[in-house]
Amino acid sequence: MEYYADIAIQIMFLMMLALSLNLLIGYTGETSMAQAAFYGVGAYTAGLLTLPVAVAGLEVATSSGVAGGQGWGFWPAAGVAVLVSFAVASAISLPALSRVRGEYLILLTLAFQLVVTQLMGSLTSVTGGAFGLTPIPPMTLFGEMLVRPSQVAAVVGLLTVLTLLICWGLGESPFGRILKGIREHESAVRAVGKNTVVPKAVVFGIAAAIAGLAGALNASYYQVAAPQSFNLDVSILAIGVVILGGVANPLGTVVAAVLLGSLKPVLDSLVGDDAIAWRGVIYGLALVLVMRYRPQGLIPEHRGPRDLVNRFRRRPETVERPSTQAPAAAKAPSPAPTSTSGPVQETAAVLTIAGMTKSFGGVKAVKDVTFDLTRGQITALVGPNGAGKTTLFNLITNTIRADEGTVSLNGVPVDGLSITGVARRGMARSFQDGRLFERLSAIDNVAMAIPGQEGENPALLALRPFRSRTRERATRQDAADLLRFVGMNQDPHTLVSDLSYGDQKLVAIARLIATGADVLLLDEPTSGVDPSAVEHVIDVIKGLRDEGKTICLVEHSVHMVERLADRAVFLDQGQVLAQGSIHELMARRELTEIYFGA
Amino acid sequence: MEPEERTSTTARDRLVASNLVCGYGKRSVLHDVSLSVGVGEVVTILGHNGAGKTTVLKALFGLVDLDAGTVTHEGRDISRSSTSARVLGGISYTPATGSIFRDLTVRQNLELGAFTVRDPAVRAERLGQVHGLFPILGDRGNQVAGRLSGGQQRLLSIGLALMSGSELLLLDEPSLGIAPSLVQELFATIRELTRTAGISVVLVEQNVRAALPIADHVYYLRTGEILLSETGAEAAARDDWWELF
Repeated sequence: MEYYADIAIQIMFLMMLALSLNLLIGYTGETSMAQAAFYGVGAYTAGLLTLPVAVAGLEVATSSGVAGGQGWGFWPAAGVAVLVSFAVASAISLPALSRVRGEYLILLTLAFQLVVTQLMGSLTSVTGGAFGLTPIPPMTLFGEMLVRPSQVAAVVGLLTVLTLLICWGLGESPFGRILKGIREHESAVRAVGKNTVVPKAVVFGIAAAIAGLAGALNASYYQVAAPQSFNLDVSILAIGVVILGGVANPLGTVVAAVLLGSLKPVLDSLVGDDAIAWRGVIYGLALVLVMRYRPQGLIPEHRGPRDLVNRFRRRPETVERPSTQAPAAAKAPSPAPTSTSGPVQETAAVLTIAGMTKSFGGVKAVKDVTFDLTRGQITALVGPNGAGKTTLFNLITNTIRADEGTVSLNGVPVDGLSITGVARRGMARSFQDGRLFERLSAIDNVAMAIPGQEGENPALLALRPFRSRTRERATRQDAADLLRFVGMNQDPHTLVSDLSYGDQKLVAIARLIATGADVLLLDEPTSGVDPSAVEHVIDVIKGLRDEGKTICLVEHSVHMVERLADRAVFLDQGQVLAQGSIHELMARRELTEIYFGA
Repeated sequence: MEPEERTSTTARDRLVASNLVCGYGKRSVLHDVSLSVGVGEVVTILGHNGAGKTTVLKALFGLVDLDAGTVTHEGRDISRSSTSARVLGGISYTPATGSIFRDLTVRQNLELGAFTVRDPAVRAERLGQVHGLFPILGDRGNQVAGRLSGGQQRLLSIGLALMSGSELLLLDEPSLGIAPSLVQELFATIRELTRTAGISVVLVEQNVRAALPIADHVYYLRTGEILLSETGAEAAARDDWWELF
């Protein structure tokens, strides 16, 4: 009995490490090699705090040079261990995450892991060196010392379940949605007005905090904190569990932790002393086979109890295309508290672009471009391929910095702001390449852009879980309404990667509208959309204009431009050749020859 | 192998797809799709978003496994052939997005397009043709492809297909993001290639106005089934085609 409890405890430690690491690897798409380092930080912090106070003249029974601890109880010490792990992780991640991505973060966390392991071994006066800190007192609960594995297993089990709930809850919350957005296209998350650096630092901290808690439990259970329990191998094992189980799926992590964690005791009983050699072989083979036959892991993303429930509740149906009769603009849902800054004069220039210039390596992509966008008008940017239309959108939204020129939104310069800041001021853009969150549903893509979601803040999620859930339901309903509004008639729960190209474009339009921005920049909104849906989109865009939005679009369909645009700006080789009503421009032969062909 | 009976053309059939059924995982996309492409023909597939047009191209190219049905190319059953075998057999596919090598130069991209062509003279000749068609690709030969504008990248992807020297081009939305003047030119070139070089083209296109005039044959696809097929002339004469969607 106690033997199995001991195995269960080991498995649950692994589970806690991997569940929290999955928030980073699976949801955020950032790989950390330092999970075991934070595990160790937690263990040593708790150990140092709970070791008995050194008394002068009386050698405490520490095995090495450590003078003694603080004599704290286990639970306050574990709390501090969690806080310390969180703080250390956030601190090291902040500078890294704002700049460093992918393989660089792997290297950085790898270095941190190695440094920590090294310090544990060599900082003898604090850590006890290779022997570690010992004897760390066992944990106590209601005044009783828990020494039997079965007792500890109950406590660890409770905390593991809590970890599972936290990781699951975070992952499925609006906060988790932002994390997944970062994984898919960080730039697109920023373009809908969401900060991405803070969520990354927070999730890094949360993953470390849970590892720290596991570390504290580990130290008190084994009554020792020694370097080899927290080295790189442990980090890699945790990563292996995440990948084997399936990224962004806590259930998969649980299954994989049980499988890999029980490998050792099972082999021990079967093979005896040779088990160590076999463990490595089986572990490696399992990973290779899973990567070959189930690259998404044992239980892939989007599979879980909720999907089983959904399968019964909701049959994926293809909705008939509705009448091409567009809904009146009045039917437009107001998905977000629109940030209208009071009625401005109808003719006022909402956006003023003056003297925009940008060179790429000597080639002037945009030269001294000046024009205004007026409220309640649709302006089309037209011109041949490579005229600089998309570059101009990039410059206006500060996706790239201009060499010269200014952009003012409602009279206030915005050139100093980030793209996130620009979006929050009420100007949002879509991308020519869509840049949708492919492994998210259409609904989640649109919901991502809706501003002012409480659930994006983990602290509020924890404080008001029920209110967050109600709000999230409303957010998703708004997103679904918007999808219907733009004419996306597939099941809104479909993953975007499973949608046709034309439907993806509609999702992109819905996402843009969802930002609630007053100035909308649309980059080829309808290329690849079928003609009847295009008619619908035309009505949608007109409806937005009549609502008082300011719209600028890049479009190659003459049909669209003629039907939609109140005026056009003709761009060629980075310069404004002409601007005016579309009919004026069409009447000028030199322009039509360049653009529409002879 | 007897070509399928069809109303308008006497051309020898280059590609015949019969009763294709396929999908992704449990999601079935094509239910029963049959079509044939003659030598030197342009066949256009029209349909609403999500009708399965792209999936038809993928099925013809071997990117989606067939659950039922056959694909015959030049009289040979290629239903189970790998995609690479189909490329060597003379079929090429240009997807709607992302079919260029962004980190290579424009010129390297085009040369890779002619990967299966051994004869350097032929490669040079084709490069000349592509440059003649899209001069910008010649001008920007040494530029990294990822730095081209979106529309120019699109031109490059079509240039890649032309470089392959395939006799059957599967083009998914070639006009996407391309300025109107070039769209006209592009479709004129496609027509030209089919007439002079006997190339066959299967075209998926939402720009119906531009695509119909060059189509020999039009198939209307709706939720994975062929609703109707008719000659290009019949389709062009029709002004209610989008009601078919």
